[in-house]
Amino acid sequence: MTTSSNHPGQIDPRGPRFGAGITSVLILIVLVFGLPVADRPAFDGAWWLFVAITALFAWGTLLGPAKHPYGVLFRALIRPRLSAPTYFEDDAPPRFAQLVGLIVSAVGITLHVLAVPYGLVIAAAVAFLAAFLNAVFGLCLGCELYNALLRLRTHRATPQA
Amino acid sequence: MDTTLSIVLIVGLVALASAVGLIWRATRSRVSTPSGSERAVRVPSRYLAAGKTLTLLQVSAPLCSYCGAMRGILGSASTRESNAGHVEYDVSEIPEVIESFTIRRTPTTLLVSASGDVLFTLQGPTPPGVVSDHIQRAFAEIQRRSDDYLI
Repeated sequence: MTTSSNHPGQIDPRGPRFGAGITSVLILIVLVFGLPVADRPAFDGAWWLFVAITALFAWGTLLGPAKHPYGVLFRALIRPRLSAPTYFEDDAPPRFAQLVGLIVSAVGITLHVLAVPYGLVIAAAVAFLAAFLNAVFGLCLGCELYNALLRLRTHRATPQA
Repeated sequence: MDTTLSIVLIVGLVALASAVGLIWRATRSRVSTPSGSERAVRVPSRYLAAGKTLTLLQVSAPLCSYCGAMRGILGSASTRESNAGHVEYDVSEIPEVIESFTIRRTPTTLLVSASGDVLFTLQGPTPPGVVSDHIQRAFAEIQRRSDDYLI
């Protein structure tokens, strides 16, 4: 049995939501500038912004949300202005969510490089949907997928009677 | 692509994301009262918060996205209400309660009187306002049952 308490060594769950908010705005900018010219893939500003977003997903995947630039920004600027978090969460699910974001955006970049019309904006739209749901509603699709996969693995590893 | 069509598509994407989020928020939690067979079952006293009129019994699991959030909400509620106590168990720790009350998801919170009667079941991550409201309803129900007993 446990009683209500915090779990030191884990992350403030508001940090990844803050990062998802920034990601949503950046992807929206990609869509605003990229969608009108999406039928003729070019290496313009929207493309470079999406490359930067993809690099940030890679950063979050490799180093985790706590060492992500948005995480650092959250701790420096936002966290001091908020009340203490009522709970902490394991950083593995949001880190996996970064990996999902990296895969989706990497597919978009690959399609764009191969001159596939609308490839980049479709990937951007998918990434926006996930980032927006996390930022506005607290629904982390990547985290849900992580937990579902772990449950599946645990279920398979449990010997059946 | 035409700029106007681009704007329409972007607004549509934001609307779609908002609709998905609102549907998810509306369906992620559910409050219920015990069914007929569940009313006859009592939660063993060893699982209840000692000396409290009402126990907020949270059932959690290691791979649970919202158990931490629910822990914070219930912990704050029990701090505000001196007669309520919050306890949290892993699903593996209380198999008979899981079986008796057909708990199939985490987090699930049982609002239990000191006598072991389950008054409300909160399934999923429940908003703080809904938790507070049902704590007050549970206290009122405990008082009503106490009055009935005295009469």
